[in-house]
Amino acid sequence: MSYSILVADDSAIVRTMVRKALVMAGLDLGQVHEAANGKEALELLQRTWVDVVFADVNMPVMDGVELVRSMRGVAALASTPVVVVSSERSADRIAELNRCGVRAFVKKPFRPEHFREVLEGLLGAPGSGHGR
Amino acid sequence: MAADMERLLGEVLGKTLEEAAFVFADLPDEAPPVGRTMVEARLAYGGPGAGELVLATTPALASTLAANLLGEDEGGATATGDDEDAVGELLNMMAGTFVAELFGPGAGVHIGLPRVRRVDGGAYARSLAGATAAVTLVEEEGRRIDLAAHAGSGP
Repeated sequence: MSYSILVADDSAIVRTMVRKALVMAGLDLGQVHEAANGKEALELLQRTWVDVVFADVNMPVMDGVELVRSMRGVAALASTPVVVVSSERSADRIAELNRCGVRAFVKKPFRPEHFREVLEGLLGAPGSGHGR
Repeated sequence: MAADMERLLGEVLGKTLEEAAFVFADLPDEAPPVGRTMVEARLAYGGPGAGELVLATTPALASTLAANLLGEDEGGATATGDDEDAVGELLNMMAGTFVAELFGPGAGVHIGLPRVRRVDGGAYARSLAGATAAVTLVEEEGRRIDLAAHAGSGP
């Protein structure tokens, strides 16, 4: 069983780092989609099944907060788990993301084990049979 | 205030380089000169406290940083733009910690997006001299990297 993932970050280098960290965390990856901002992510989510979204907060065009809010307004995306991967430390921004239903945070700079911990909490142990 | 800020800049710069890019850098007795060209990232922060952070290094160290972030061999970073992306992303990481430490996580200070470009070394040195606080670290191969704060110049 493999997971379909979306990584939304305006930095190409971070998207690659997240992808590598997920592999090193032991997640059975299926398709890994990438988006450079929230708008691209939302467009992709509306035509492609994704099991988990990893999104930055500070992105051009549409930021991570707006992305999560938009997802919650679409029935088919409302329950898709979102993990915020960001250097944002602002308490009010984090509270706002929690209110929008963000399930987990990974702080930059990150290590693969941070993803493992978050994914275990979110999906069960990597490779435990969730996903598709 | 400037001395406290300098100490914080040094801690944030050193720790982020170490944790994210596996580069170990220290305060030098004497910093090597600014390069003819520098890769410079700028990021504004705003809210109750406003200002701008600037991270700059030589193109050679920027390539090393990109390679280390990606866990790959050096060589292609300049062609792909990963070297500039790496400097911008490292500044983004540093900014989150810097504003949280300086103003507190509950202060409502937000960070903007990094803007990265290659700049002439002379112009960069003049800009660095006008910073509110700045720190220069030197890594094992003797290459410099600077982190500076310009208070009050944010959005």
